[in-house]
Amino acid sequence: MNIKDLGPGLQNWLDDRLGLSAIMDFMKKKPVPQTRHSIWFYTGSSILLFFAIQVITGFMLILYYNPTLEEANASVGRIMTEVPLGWIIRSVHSWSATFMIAIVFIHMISIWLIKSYRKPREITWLTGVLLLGISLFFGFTGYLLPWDDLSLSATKVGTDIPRSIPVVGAWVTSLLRGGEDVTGDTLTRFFGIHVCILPIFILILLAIHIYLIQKQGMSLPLKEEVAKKEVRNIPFWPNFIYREMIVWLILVGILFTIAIFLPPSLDRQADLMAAAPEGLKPEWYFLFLFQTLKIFPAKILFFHGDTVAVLLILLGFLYIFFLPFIDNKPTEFKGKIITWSGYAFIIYAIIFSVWSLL
Amino acid sequence: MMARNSRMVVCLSLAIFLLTVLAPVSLDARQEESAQESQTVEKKAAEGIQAAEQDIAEKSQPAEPKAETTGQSEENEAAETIVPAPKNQKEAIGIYVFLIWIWLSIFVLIYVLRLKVKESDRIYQLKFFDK
Repeated sequence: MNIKDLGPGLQNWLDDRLGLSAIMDFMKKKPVPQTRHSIWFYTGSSILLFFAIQVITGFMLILYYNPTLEEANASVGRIMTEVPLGWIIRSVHSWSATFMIAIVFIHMISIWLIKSYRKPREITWLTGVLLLGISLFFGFTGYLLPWDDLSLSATKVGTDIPRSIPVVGAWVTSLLRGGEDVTGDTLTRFFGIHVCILPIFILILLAIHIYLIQKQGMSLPLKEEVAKKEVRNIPFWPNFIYREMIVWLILVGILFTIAIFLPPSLDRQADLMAAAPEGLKPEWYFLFLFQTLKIFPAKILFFHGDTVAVLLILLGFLYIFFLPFIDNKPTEFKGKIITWSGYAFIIYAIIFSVWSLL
Repeated sequence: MMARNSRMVVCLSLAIFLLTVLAPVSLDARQEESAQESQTVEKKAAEGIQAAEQDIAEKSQPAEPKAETTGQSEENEAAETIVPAPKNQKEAIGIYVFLIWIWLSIFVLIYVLRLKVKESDRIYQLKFFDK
């Protein structure tokens, strides 16, 4: 067999078994609309890129991390000081999480504003909101793993929030903590959730989400669809993929540059008996919720302020989750109000996050 | 084509210049910080050893072990914040070269990909594969 035949030969061998040519034909024919909103299409694949980077760096970190009360902080310290380039791997892991969550928010808001969740894409939206929730939970569980003063205090505050929910609140807090207080059990539990349970859920939901996107194709903006305008399309493969690759390259470059110049530090080992440090703040993506909880008074009529705040936040999440069903007439006045609620959400999140930092 | 090439050369030069100027400053500053940190830790460790020796001399019986839930030893309490930085000058230069290589590769790949985008768009507009 000639060496030149090896490429096509292997390709044919794989094609016979995996049906790759059918997939390629599908991708070549899949149209990607080119409108002024097309820039938002790049956010989806960018999320996948950062997720992949986190999986790879996560595997590397797990080789050295020890999720026990005595060793957690010290093992992260060893990763940063003894493991060759360990501090860069940890920094890339941490920064890619930040980038991923930021782009997940942008992706969700863009879909909200251009109303891509409308029929027949309701389930795609539902899986997307669940993926956002899982991403945030990834961030929350990962924050405790270095087991330093700040992460311990933030977890104490974070896991105490569900306690305000009537009936099931105390149980949820206890379930998260693995007891009444944040201890070594919480650390082990969070580690298990972070590396085992959440990845399973995220992979299942991602598979459904991507399948639905491939099945239904990219959505047209509402205006173009209503006006039945002729929109220029390009094939997904290779035209759109080449464009996506350019975005990925730029993002990878920015990620590595920031990860090298601004690596996260590690505080001393958490002391379970110590008081919470002053100026305690959660990760940036929880700041607006944190500030919302802070502004509520202790009592509102006959109810606890915390309970009212948590219930309002839950109501907000339910509104976002069921958005495609609430916005069932996107072209009418109700649809416009819902679009404006998206802008209101952006303004609220920015103002409250900045307020929390001041 | 010439204009595009010259634009690219300018961008590349700018990126290399920024990296050349900024990287050593930042890395050196962090190395100094980490050196200071390590000096402080060493000093504290020496003080800790002295204190421990005095304790041993004073007490005939060993002290009761601390509760396990605190999970802290005196050594850990003495530990300060770890500021990540390259271990030595060699590693710092290695990282710095790696970063330049990454950005150079990115610029070259973007240049190639832009050509590929144009080519694939042209072929698509010609409906080459439809025929």
